[in-house]
Amino acid sequence: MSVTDRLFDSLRHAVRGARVAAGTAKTTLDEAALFSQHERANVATAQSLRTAQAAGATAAQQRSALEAAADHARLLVSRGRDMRGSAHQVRDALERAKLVALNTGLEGARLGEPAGKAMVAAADELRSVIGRALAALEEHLSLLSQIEREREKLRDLVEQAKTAASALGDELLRAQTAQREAAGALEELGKGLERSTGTDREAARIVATAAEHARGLLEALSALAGRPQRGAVARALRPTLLPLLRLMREIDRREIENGGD
Amino acid sequence: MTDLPIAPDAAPGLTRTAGVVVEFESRLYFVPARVAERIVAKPVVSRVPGSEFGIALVNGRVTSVIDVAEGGNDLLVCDIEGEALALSGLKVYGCGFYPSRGNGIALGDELVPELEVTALIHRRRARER
Repeated sequence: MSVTDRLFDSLRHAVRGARVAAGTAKTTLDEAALFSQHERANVATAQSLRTAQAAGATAAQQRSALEAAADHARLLVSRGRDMRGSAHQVRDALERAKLVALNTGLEGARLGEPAGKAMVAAADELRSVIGRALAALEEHLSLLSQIEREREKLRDLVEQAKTAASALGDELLRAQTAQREAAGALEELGKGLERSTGTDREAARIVATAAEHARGLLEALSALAGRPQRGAVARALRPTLLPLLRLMREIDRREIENGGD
Repeated sequence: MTDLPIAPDAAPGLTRTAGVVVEFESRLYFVPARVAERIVAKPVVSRVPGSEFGIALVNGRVTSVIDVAEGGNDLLVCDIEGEALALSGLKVYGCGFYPSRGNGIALGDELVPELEVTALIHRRRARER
């Protein structure tokens, strides 16, 4: 029997032994799996708590941004009022200029023709220009009114968004509290499991990890066994596998000495 | 105050009259330049108790004000028998030279009669009494 065959035989034997041990120690493995599930639940809870905290921080940032937006909307209202005020001043000035033009025309008319004709014509042209300016100003004021209406809608929407962000922040805080409670309950559950099974949590975790790795090793070796160049594979694996075999034999020996199966 | 374009040049031979076109009781009237002195923005008018007249400070002068109609932002200051009197509530449409027609002017095809300011004031005074 070649060295390679002996190595694979030993491995098969060890794995078979491990399988038998696993069969007899099903309860221990189940417990280990239970602890492993518990650990995963712990990790998931911690992860969801971190996510909720991050979401809460984002919601707080969003609320701050919306508050800033609401401040800007209020500033827009103030600026709009200033704009309307200055537009009214312009309108007053134009109305006054129109009166001046009208009085100039009246003076020209009083002078009679032809002396006042140019004056009347100039006053009339001036009134026409002022009239166009007033019409444009009225259009601006109308646009300003539209902007004010849109701005009011915007302010309402920002206020609504602010309220929604605030509610979201509160919900996230409640979620964080619930997750903290869940984490606490899971911790208690872990302790309860330790007490009821009499298994050390750390040992159970190591057993679960070892079982997982053993399953992986078995699958890999089974796959390798059917491939050519087994000798090269065995030589490559030997430094790793021999200590493992020795360790398993030692465990078996101790088990037998202690009266195990 | 509303815009009214200056009347086009009259045909040769037609006489033209200078003055102001105003709206009063939904009709256009003409106030000749010899009566209309100036148009001013309506100042604060103080009512005189027991009278339909008010007084206001117009260009530094205390001037009688009579409300011929409601509203309006301007006062038409007139010279009535040597006395300054402001009419409130008229809408001023324009001023310039207009073709004379009968007791008024022609504005396009429309005949615009002269506003008898003196008669209007006398009627108000009679009502007051």
